[in-house]
Amino acid sequence: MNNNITVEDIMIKIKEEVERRKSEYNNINLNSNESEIENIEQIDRLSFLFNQESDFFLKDIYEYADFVKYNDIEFVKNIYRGLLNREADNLGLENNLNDLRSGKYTKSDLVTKIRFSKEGRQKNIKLLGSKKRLFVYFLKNIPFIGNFIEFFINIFTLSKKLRNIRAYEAYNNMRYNEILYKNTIIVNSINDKIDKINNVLKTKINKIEFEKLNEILQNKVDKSQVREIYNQITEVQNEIKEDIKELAICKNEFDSYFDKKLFDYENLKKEVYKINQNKFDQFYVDFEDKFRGSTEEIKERLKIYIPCLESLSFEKDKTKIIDLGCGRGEWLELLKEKLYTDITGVDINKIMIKINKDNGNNVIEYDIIEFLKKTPENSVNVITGFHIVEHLGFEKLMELIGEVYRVLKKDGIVIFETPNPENLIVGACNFYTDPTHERPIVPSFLKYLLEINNYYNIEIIRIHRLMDSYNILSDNEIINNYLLNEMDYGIIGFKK
Amino acid sequence: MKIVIMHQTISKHDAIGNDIFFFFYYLKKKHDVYIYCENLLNDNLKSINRKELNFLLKEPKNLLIYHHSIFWIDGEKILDTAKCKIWIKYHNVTPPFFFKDYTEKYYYLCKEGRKQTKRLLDKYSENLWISDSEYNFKELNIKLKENHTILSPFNNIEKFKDVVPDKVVLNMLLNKNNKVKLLFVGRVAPNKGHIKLIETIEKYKKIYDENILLYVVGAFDDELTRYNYLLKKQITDLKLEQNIFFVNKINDENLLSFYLGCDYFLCLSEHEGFCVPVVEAQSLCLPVISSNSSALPETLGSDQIIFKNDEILSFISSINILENNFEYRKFIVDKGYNNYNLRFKNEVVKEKLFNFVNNEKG
Repeated sequence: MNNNITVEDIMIKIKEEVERRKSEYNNINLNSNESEIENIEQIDRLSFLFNQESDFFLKDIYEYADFVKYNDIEFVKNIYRGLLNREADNLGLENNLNDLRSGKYTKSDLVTKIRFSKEGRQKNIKLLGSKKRLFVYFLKNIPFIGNFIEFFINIFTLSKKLRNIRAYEAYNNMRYNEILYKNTIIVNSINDKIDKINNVLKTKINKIEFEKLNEILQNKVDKSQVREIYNQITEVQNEIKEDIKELAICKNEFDSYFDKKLFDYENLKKEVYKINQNKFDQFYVDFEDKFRGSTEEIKERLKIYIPCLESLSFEKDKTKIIDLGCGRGEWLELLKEKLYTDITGVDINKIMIKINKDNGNNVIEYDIIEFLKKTPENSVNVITGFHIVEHLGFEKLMELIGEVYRVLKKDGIVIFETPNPENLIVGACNFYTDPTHERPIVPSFLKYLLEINNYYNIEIIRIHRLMDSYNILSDNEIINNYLLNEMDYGIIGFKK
Repeated sequence: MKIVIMHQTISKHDAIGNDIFFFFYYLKKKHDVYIYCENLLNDNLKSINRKELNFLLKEPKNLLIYHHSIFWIDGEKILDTAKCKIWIKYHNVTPPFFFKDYTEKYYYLCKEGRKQTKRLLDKYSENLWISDSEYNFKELNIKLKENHTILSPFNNIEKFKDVVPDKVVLNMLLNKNNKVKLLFVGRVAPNKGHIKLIETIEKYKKIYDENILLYVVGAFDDELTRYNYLLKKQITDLKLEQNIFFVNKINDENLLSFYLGCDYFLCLSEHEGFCVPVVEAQSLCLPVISSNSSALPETLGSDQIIFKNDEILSFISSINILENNFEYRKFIVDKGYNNYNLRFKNEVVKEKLFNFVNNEKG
């Protein structure tokens, strides 16, 4: 492709593009002319301020007049350029200027001094009349006599010196006028700028708008209006204060009519909780009927704990027994059959309570932990709880175990029964059939909880082996154990 | 024949420094070569002292190659006293008026440097004068003779073969693929046309769109603070702070990244005796758009995009045309690369140099 292209083709395309854009480009330039002029003006002015450009020219042979016609900084700089072929360094410039300005040296002295300095001698630039001046310079610097010589030289050269002074005065006047002229230009230019700015400002702030603005501002700071508003606010504040006083009186009257307890939040919460709890009472009765087993089956299962009770040193008629979460009352029935007399069942389910009462059991409708809290310490021989601990969260469980211990008499016994999660089927499935279960409790963990609460002789009884009911067999013994482990376990502990 | 190469200040990274280094490097293979300078800023070279220099310059068979680019009164004195053969490698001295508004020192040095060039031309009119470009001779307004010849300066472009571009810089540039990225490389000095570069960017923004960036790579000079200030002010006044970036002096890795990551090399210099960055750009396949001032057209070679310095609309139109025509862009890149390859590769320059030396010996 490149073979067909020439640079002329490209240039033609560029020129076409230039033609297309020309008018647009010219418009831009027209609009920006003003700013360009401004920049040029600025550069000129800066040049004037900064540009110390000298008209000094380098030559092969110099006369003193080539240097002495300049003044001050320019004079010293030109000596360096001419005689040392370099720009003056800062230190040299400063020292020589000091000598010149203090009157220590005349201009021609300074030229001579630099010409015959070490560097000046190396450069060896031709300076006409320098030897004569060096001789004079040398004479003037002879101690004591030098002053007389300088005096006589001055007398002889007085008329020349006066002529130089007049020339210098004229030169200064010329410079002064020049600077004055340049200053005038600058001042005029600044004044123009100020005028321009003023004009811009005038056009930008419309007079009518300014007056309106002024009016608005004045209104905003109208003091009488502010005072009026302040008075109104104070009035309203006073009215509010009166209202608050009246409200306080009303509140006192109200409090005297109603028992404060009625508004006790904690009580109210409990009442609400109770109401919510009872919503599921019927559900739980039906659930137990369906999943837990018949009353007879349960009674049969619970017989396993009777020997423990009978081994106690307490007499049966003096053994106070509390069954927490008594449910349908199977355990209470069994205890009655075994001739125990002081038996109390506690449950929060209204329907369960009713069933128990209908069967002649001594039961109380109460939250089990609240019930224990109201029971005196060291007052009960036996406390049981079948399938209740798995319904409690950890904190409540800890509270229950602690309260049971407090309430039990010395050598009193506690029996809890709960699903055994060592059986995989229970742990993974059956446990979750009951929606009110919190979490399965591993036997060793429950034992640990009793231990740390000071129970002793703690014993775990694993019960209801699944093999009795199902034929689950695997070739692997370990798996068998996991599947065939007892489905529940009981834990028994004594109070020290 | 022993050869002495002489210059006032020899730096490491500038064009004259590189030229001197390769003079030394190539001549050293066949001759005894020595360097003499007042200030040496290159660790790879060593300067003989004045006594050794004087000794070498007494021998008529020896050769002194004086690289002339600035006012050096002492250099002139050495030439005047030398008994050996003398070549003058002329690199050009920037016209003093560029510095008049900014620095007295450079103005003085350039003014005296130019005067010195004329003196040397008179004194050494029969010696071999080697110029970086034809323009340098034209500018001196002299009648060319057999002893006036052209030898472009050696460059250090081949070093880029061993340089790994800086990933961060390159990625930064390549990620701005929706913007046109222009590059200019050269020290920040009034003859380099920065004011026109800034103006070009402003006009491009107004005529085309805002998606244009200019990276100016090159060292700032403390002597030129007024110039630096004016550039900064111009950028601020035209609200181009987001479009123009002065990168100052950078290392080779970053420089290569800029050459590779930018889209065009825009050179609007007003005075160049030669222009090494333009050749660097061509060698690295960056299309160059340039002004026709001084030695630039000669350096760029044929088939490149060149306009008069004040044709700003042409410069921005060129960018637009190349940006929208890949074939055109490729054409300019190919021709630019050929220019470097055929004219300015060090091997090509070296052959010419040895021809001169052989003639001198012969």
